[in-house]
Amino acid sequence: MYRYTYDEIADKYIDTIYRLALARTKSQHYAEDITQDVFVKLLSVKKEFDSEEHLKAWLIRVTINLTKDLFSSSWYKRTDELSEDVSYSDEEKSDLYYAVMKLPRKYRTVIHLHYYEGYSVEEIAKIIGATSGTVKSQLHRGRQMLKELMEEV
Amino acid sequence: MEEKEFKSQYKKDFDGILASESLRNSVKNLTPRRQRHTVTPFKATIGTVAAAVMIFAAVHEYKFEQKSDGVISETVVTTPIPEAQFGTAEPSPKEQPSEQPKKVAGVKPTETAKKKVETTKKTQATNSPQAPIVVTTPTPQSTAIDVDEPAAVTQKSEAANDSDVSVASVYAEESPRVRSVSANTTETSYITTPSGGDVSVTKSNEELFDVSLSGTVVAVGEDYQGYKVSGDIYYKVYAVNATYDEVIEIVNGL
Repeated sequence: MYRYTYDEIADKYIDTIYRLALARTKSQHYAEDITQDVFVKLLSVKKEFDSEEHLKAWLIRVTINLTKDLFSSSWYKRTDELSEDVSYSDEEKSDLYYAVMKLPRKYRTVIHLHYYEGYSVEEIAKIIGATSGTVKSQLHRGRQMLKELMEEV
Repeated sequence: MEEKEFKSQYKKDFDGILASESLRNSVKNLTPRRQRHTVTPFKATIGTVAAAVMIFAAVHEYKFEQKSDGVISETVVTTPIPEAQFGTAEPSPKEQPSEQPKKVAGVKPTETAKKKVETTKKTQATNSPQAPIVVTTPTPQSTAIDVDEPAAVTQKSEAANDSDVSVASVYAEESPRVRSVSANTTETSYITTPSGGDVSVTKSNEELFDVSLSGTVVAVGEDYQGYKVSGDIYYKVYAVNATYDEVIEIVNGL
């Protein structure tokens, strides 16, 4: 059983969760809410983990599920168009970043997990609960769309 | 854009995305600071246990200084219960009618039991709850014994004949000096445990039962103290008004 302290995990994975939530929601506010909810869940379930990787995968899966819940809420459906504010820190983002943010949500998720978190197709499939073939095709399609978007730029 | 270039650019862009300080604080404050261990729970536990002990002592009238066993009430036996019911017969001469035979079957002797034969003229008691006991009011009759050491046996038989009441408690598993015994007596025969043998009972008259044991008999009655007997043995049980079942019960209880 993997032993951890909440503070330690919060410090280590808050950015990971926030980035993923932001990549999915494209909203700083929603991303912050989702991040908080993920840690609330971590505290409430008192789940035991086999390893740190297991814990990280669980956090990512909860993040994805919570964003799904958000997307399916009537509140989000009403305010979705207004709330999209691709946020960035002081640092200027590249064209690639904006192109990624223009991708459909499902492509953004797999691209983020693959290119940023370094997960393999199989690992992503496990985390998001899809087949490897689906993940593979989403990655391929996302890359194709990115190419087209970059060419436009 | 190459795959590697895309990856490094993507990482570079997202590395700059960090959770704000306010978000970090709110996430850290989601859980209240864990309280340090205090003695309060221990105090409460000790108090609870002490209260439970006091309640127990009060209800059970427990005397701490007297090391009471804490029993709430005791059952006082006011009516004497014949001890024979418990398998340790200690009948007194007054309690036992002179012509009414009584029999009590005890439990089988254990292998570790030592040789022990007790015979008294009036009442014989055995303190061992494991001792097989037969109580009878013997009618002096002739005793024919065929053993390797007839002299000693005869002497003991004569002593037994003088007894009004005989109680025998037999334990024997040593001294294999006697290989066969034929106990033919209407007085009292104390034949003991057949080791894996069969028991057959035949009623010869109103007061006499012929009991036949086959197999190895590991002990015999008072007259054959200390002798190990092998082979079939025939003996008689003097039991007035006893039924077959009662006799068998006596034999089985030996």
